Amino acid sequence: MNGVSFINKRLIIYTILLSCGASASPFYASSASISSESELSTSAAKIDNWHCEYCPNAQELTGYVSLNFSLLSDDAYTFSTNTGIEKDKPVFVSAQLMYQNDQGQYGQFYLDKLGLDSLALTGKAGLYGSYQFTVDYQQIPQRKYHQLLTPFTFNDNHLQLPDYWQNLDTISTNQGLDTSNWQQLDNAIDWQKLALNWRYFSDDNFDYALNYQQLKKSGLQQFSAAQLINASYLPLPINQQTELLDGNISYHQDKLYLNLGYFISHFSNSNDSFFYDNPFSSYVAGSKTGQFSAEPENQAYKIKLNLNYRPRMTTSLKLYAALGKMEQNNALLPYSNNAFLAHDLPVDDFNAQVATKDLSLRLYNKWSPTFKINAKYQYKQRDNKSNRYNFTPVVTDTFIGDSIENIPYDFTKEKWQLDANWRFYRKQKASISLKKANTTRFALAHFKNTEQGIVGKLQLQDQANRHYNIKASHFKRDGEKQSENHYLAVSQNPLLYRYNTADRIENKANIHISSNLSNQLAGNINGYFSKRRYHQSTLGLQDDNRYHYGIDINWQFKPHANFTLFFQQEKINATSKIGSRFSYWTSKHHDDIVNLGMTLKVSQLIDDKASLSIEALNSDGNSQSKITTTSSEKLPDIKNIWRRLKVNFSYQISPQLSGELLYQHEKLASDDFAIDKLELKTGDNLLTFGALTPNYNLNYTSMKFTYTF
Amino acid sequence: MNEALIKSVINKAMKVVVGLFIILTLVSLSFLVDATEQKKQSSNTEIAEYSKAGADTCLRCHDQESTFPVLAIFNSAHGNKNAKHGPFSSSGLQCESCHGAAGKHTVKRLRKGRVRAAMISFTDQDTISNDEKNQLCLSCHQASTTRHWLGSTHQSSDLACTDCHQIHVRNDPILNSAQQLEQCGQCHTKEKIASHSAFSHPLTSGQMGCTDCHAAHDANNEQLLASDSVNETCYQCHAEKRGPFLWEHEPVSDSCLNCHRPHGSNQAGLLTQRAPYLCQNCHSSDGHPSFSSGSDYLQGQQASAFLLGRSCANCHAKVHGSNHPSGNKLLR
Repeated sequence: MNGVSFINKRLIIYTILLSCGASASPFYASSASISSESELSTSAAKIDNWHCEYCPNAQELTGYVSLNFSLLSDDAYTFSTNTGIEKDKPVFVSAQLMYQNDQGQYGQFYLDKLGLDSLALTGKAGLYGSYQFTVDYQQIPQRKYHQLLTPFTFNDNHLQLPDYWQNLDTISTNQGLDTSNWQQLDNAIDWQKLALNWRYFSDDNFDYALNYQQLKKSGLQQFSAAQLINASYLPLPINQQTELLDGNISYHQDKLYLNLGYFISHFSNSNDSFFYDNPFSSYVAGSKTGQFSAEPENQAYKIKLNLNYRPRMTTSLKLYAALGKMEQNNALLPYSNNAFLAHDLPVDDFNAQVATKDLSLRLYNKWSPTFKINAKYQYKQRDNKSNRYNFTPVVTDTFIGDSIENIPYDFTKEKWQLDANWRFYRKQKASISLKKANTTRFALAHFKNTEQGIVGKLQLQDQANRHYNIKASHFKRDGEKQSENHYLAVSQNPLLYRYNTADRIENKANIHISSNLSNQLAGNINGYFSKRRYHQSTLGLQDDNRYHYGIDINWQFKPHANFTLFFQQEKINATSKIGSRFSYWTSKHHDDIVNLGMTLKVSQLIDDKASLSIEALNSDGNSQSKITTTSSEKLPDIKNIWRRLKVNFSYQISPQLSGELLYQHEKLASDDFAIDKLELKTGDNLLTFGALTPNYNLNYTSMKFTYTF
Repeated sequence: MNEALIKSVINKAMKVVVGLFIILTLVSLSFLVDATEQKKQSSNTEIAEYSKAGADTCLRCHDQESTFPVLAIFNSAHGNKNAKHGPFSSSGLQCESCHGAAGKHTVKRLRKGRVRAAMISFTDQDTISNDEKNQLCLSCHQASTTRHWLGSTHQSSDLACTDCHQIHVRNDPILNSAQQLEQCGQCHTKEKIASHSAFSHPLTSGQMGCTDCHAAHDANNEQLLASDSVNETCYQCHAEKRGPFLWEHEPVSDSCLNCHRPHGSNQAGLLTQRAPYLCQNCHSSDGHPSFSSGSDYLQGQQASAFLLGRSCANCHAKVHGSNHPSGNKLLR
């Protein structure tokens, strides 16, 4: 492994140089001229005479209530994703109440979008520097598609077909489906997130923190299930809940910070499995109804230790260690609910247990005002302790397959990093990082990867106050297959040459220039380039190249008027090689995303009472796929266009009352052949929900009155 | 023992020795070399004096009408007289806690042509480095996350606390998740572009902020993730994907980033590529996974199910893992 020695040799040389440098302190000589720490040298303050007579008292109680009236031009189902804005919910209320007194007690209450499905509620109370309690509740509506068309009805864990159902494969292609008795369902999942947080800062250097989070997801999910080559889309009701509890106790002194934390997470699912009626003719008797597993209830625990020793403001030694566990012990379903194919399981429940270990050790030292170093070591292990059994699966409720063993997936990851930062002039800085990572994965094959490389950064500032940030990196990854599972031949093992273990060379460069062209005008230019070339990767990803560049301008053309403009483009090009060992074909993908936007903000209009803001954003995404077999074939482009124009005018009617008028035009146009070309019965073997569209093109107007107190 | 094994053992031993040598050298030298002390010994500095009346001196000129309005600080912890250890508490140095001793800045009358002596303004005009400015904040903010700032990624990138945080406001905007994309996106442009893609997390609507996944002050991983790994961060909200499953899908357990772009994508489901091609990056060597699903498949009756809709997931729906004893092909 030449690469290993490549890093080690340099590390040794580098360390020796550093040692010599530190001993001789060459950086110190220049630091005096560079340093301006003299400005921090101060005399003792006579604060007994500081009465703060001009300091205003805190406003004890402030807040506002706002009432929104809105009008939506179109019943655009997916527009209400995240926003919660719907045509039949034209009124919503927002309010804020803030309290603070001179004793340091405070409270804040914030309510947003009461009346919509995107309600947000935040409460915060405490005593500055002593304790704080927060409550955060949020509803996040996810609206995928409107009115899915399906023959299935959900009845006690069972997606059932109607009694009159005629198997789809017995209906000729030219014969239309009678959907008159099918039902229309909305594909929406509502998230409800509740977070409680408590922090207490004691006088004896101890801090305590307790965080609780509950996340509920309910609604309808698109799912699909297959019986051999026939598959059907299923409207799957979900009702899931995740609870997290994270407790921390911290101790800190001048030089030492110690934190001990414990984390527990529990996921519960109201259903552990579903039955569904096969809408096609079954291949074997007794397989009219299939059963599939839902996500199992599971738990995770972790105990964490954070230690930070800081002997002075320029040196820090950090240790982090965590031991975790993920587990689930759900009862296993039968191989099949087809009585003719029933046979015994090797075990009734699968006691899955994964232990995780995390360790990191980091050292930071500012050797001189101009020179800093960082050294890091990280270790991560996923140790899958689940038992191994021989299963004899029933393939899609149709036939008994070959016996196969479940193979738990493990990995071990180690990383080393050494950074050196040198400020060679007051605002000019260079840094170099050496990195190395070893990863060992064990499952269907035993793989070892070694990746190492170098990162260089340059931060410059010229006399015209232009900032230049340049970053470049080069990494090389070597893969080494140590063993493979006995029952998988090389050609059949898809994991042996996959892209995340294949040999790879990665080059990246990033540049960011920002400049104040005048007192009114500022601009930024940024560019990014990433090129990944996969070597000896017989199959799978061969090249993955990404670029992006952008410019943004900020122009304050009048004291109370500001104009910004930005343009950004990202391109992703990826090439994959696919096929058997004897015949390859390639697929080439090209993503192109262009964002163009502007904002105009003018305040203090009409006797200083009004302000106007205009915001326009156009995001244009285009994906192309081209494959080469005997001849080149290009699939239709996938186009996604999102446009938004927002005009906001606000007017201060009286010192307490203000009005705001908002006009918003928004358009989403998604042109995706994989969705658009779907039919209810696609081919002879796929029952879908039909061609659905998330598109909308709408106008939204709202009027808001806010009373402030 | 064969020669290769002996070489391997020697190589490993050498690595351990070199590693230990590096760590010991760095640790020992770190404790020997202290930049601050060196400077104290040698600097021939002029001592700046604190103002005579503290904030009352400052507020004569700096008020809500000045170019940079300051009075909102009195509605925050920093300006509260009873905030424990706060700058305006009985033991605090008020404005000069952060801006440094006023020195000659408070001279009432300047001679013609003279410029008022500068104080620390937390802008580009300052003559002290960002590290030194940050030390002013860290001298109070010792506890919790900020304690780890030294040596963090953002510190290495020479960020100042005030690049992200605002002090003279009642509520710091960066602590509001809806404001974070704009602020962080000034440097992290690639991520900001992605968030405007057709499919993204609710970042632009403000229901998620950057800090839901990232710990900006420091973390024990390169991406500054809030949890120890990519997957553990995703499991905070997507715990149904955690398993562990009876039949695991290796790339899923390895890293969600093998298939997803979390900041946004032009492909549904935040995928890096469209199925079936994404799946074929690994599953491509034989049988139906190696079929080339091209434009002619759009017309075909039999094969189009491989290309349309959920593509491979039309049948292999349990791509994140299956707990069904017949789910080894992720079909159940």
